[in-house]
Amino acid sequence: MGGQTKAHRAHFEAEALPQLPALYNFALALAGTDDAEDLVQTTCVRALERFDSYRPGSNIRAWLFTVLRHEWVSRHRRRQRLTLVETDGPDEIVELRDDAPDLEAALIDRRWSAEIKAALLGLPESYRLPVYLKDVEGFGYREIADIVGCPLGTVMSRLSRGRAALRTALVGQARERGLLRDQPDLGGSHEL
Amino acid sequence: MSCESVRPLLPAYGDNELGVESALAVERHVRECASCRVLLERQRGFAASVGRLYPRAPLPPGLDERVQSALRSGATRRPWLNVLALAASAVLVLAGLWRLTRPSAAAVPARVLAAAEIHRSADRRQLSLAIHSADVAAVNTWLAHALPFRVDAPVQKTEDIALQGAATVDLAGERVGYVEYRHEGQPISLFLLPPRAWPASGRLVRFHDIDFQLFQINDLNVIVWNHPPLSYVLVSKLEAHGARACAVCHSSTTEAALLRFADNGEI
Repeated sequence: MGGQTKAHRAHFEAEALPQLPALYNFALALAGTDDAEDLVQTTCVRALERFDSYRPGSNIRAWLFTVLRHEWVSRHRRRQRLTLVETDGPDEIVELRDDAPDLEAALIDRRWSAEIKAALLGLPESYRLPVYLKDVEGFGYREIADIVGCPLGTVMSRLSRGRAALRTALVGQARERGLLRDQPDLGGSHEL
Repeated sequence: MSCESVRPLLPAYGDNELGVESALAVERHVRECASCRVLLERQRGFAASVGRLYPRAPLPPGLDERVQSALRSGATRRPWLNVLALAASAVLVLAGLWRLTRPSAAAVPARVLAAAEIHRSADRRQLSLAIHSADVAAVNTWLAHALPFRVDAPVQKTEDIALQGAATVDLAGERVGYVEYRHEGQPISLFLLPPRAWPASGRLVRFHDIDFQLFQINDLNVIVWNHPPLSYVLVSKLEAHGARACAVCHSSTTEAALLRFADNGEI
């Protein structure tokens, strides 16, 4: 391996290795525990191969996440012989309703980390990723669109639907535990 | 700007993703409108709580060294991992078959067991439907009024499966929607629930970005899945682990794909 290649790899490692924890957590959210480590490792090798396409000064984490997502989709396609039409519906924003229960206090007071994680990971991938990338990782809409590989309007729509579904799941749990006593028991109504 | 025109913009405004002009217009409105201001604060509060409380997993020991080693060698996979993956697949397949042939009542969620019981009542013609109709629009309208949560999924008619009607039923203490179909005299029961995180049990199959859980309760096949804004439980005696019953909502082309999914899908 020549000096230039070594320098290239050293540059890549200096940029990419500090992102490993975030990359690993994204792999967990995307692929689950069984595949996450291998996905991170493969992603890093692929990213090094394509490092010339990375624009210095741009967001390295977003770029690595995009490579990881591509790698995951490519694996998925290899394993998944079936394809169906996307059942997303139109790009609509789901609005929070005036009578939605005050869930935020319950989340914070009870430190509902495990519940939030379980509910978020329980969402379908098309909703889970925008919520994870926005609310957990703090990416902008444009970066999320690049990582997920869909138009900006679709990101906004899926993000609002994902947040609504996440809120509904958590409201249901809060009700079951009697944490939203002021609300009538609607059997887990669809408050957003 | 009216509340009606501001509200769809609130999420993007809260995320600092609106253009300057729209952001200023929303800001002016929110300053004067208490109800939109409360909604904005709650949206922001919810997103911030998710970001703050979502637990981050630590990096597994040795992963950074393995990554560096892979970068040096250009290897994308440790050789022994292939063997391990093969062995793990075999174990999972066997575990899946074991689950199918020897179902564990303890592992089956209470609502799945309750759904199977309600289905048996329907099979004995002992379940009273609140609306008897083969008209999809009429059943949808009735469901929209009867359920305290929104039903977005349209009930679709298929050629060889006939819609019978709908009701609300008590599913392990929760009031949920129930839609009944018949195929060659046999009932197919579709339960509509608010979304939830189902405990990981049964035979897990991922298909088209949706995680399905398949259970066999004696002679009944039960399929459970989430597709916001609803969760679904589908019960039937139909073959291919119940996937043929998916035809209640899907075309025959999709049904064929679903059958292949049930027969060959990942376990």
